[in-house]
Amino acid sequence: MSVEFQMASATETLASRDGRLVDLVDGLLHHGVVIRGELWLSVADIDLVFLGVDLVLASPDTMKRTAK
Amino acid sequence: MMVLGWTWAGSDIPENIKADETGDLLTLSVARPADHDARTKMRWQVYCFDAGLDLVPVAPAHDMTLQDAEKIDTVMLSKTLQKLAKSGQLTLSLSPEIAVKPIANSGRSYLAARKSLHDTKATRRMSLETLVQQSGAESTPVRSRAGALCCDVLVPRARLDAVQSKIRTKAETTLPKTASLSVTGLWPPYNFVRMPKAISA
Repeated sequence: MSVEFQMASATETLASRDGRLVDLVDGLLHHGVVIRGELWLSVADIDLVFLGVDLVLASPDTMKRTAK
Repeated sequence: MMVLGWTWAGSDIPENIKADETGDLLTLSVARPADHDARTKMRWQVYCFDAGLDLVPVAPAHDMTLQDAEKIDTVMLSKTLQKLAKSGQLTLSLSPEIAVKPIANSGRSYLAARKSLHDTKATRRMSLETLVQQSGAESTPVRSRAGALCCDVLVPRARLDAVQSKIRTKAETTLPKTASLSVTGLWPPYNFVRMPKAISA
């Protein structure tokens, strides 16, 4: 018995319907450059509250599951 | 327009890709299709990368407009692009083994079976970490996704065949014999883009 080994190019992987490769691609979708918005809420020149907001595209269902 | 990422100014830009000058770099974008989704963007990014462009990619699931892209620190982008020049990532995925449900004919046997399952998972993780270490390339930590274990390896384009061959060879001695390993790529270096904050408001 030997290790089952599968190699595929990026293009082949994107076109594949193999569940393992579909999951693999899904895992890459959120990696790369994102814009991170940062906001200070201030009153009378005193910084009070820091808000860091990652603008990441996600479905509302995904966001709710992540929040739980 | 849908921003794909950045490459060097003066690069040969493939067809259907718009390139806007951004300091020493070009911001690459395409017309936003009606059925835009993250995978569509990823296909365009792979198209650019496969055409030979060095690429700092936007996260495919992240919707970035050209106006957003103007806020990015181009000095940091240039440094990132220099670090990733002529390289992409191989993504390794070690599929889950078939889980055996613990038999609950006694509490002791149930706990023993659960421990065995836990130990199997820990062994798999360690074996993938060892395999990646032995590839000799920069790598990301192993992460778990849908039961599979994944990680990425940064590979110069010129060394792709050599690294794939090394991974295949080492896999035979490093991974359990029942393992199933997928090696995909080269992808744009999604998991090797590490930049500080882009904007502050």
